[in-house]
Amino acid sequence: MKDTKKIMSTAIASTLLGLTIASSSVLAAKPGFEKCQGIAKAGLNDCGTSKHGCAGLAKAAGDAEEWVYVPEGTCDKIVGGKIKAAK
Amino acid sequence: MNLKKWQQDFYQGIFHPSQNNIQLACQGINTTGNLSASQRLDIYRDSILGGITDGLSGVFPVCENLVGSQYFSHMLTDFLKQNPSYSPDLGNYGALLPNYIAQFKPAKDLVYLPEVAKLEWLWHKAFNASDVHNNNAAIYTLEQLASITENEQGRIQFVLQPSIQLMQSDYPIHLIWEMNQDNYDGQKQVDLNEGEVNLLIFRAPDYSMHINPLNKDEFIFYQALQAGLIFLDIAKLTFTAPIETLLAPAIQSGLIIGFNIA
Repeated sequence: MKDTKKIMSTAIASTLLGLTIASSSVLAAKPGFEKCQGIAKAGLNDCGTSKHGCAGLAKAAGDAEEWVYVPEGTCDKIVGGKIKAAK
Repeated sequence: MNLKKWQQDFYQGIFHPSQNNIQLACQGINTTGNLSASQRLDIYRDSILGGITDGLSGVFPVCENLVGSQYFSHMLTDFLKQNPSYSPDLGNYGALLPNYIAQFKPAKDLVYLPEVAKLEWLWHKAFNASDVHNNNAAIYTLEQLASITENEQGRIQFVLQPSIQLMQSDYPIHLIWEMNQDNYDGQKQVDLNEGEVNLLIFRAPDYSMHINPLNKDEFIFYQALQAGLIFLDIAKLTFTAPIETLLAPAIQSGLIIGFNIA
């Protein structure tokens, strides 16, 4: 059986060591973490109803039963044989 | 007519506009001028459904991109009917969309789509999470770790940064997500056979958003932290690497913000 106490004290000790070295730059560099996106996203609650008003969007959506579902987006760029059988 | 009954009729007239429901809803609508009650109801319906649809495409832009906006809005038609919002904040709406997509038969071949939707929802949650400085979950700062005695170490309960979300998928959904970003300039195809991923999603203090693939050790470690396990129990878990190689980076990167003593 492993000595849990030893494992913990070692971990804390070496973490503290790293903390002293890094304390000035904590959060600044974040080594090993890839920056994916910096983004300013608009709040949702202003997502203008005015854009639609009496326009046709929801009318079209009301016809869902007659709609033929053919995806027309970027999903044709996803390839691979790992397609599960339909549930 | 009482208010509750009228509200229910109006809701039905908007979200389930059968002839009968429209008639009932219109009973409570006064008309003046050139528009009939049902025309007014139509305008209101288009506005509200359009607003919610816009809200959801704001939360699930990658899903919308994957299937096209027409497909996306048609896919939402029944979702909106089946899942009324229970929050006055449109930003709280959409948690159930990943499950709905998983059950949505026309999209059953797009096996990764519900997973991408889940990733987008977690991204949305991370994006809107409270700031660290508003978070009182941790009593002790990390500097105080040095003053914790060895006997107390087992009772340390590390506190994660509040925006952190974890997710596992059978598919490389982070690559699918990345491929559908505006500024994307990488490989032109994503192969589902690249297999499963463990992901950590969080918002950094500079408000940049991150989706980081984790190895198995890291994923187990962060899961344990998120579950609120004390350090003694975490130390007993089986990792392939020494635990300090997990703890130190978690602290240095700001993902652990403090700790409590349980």
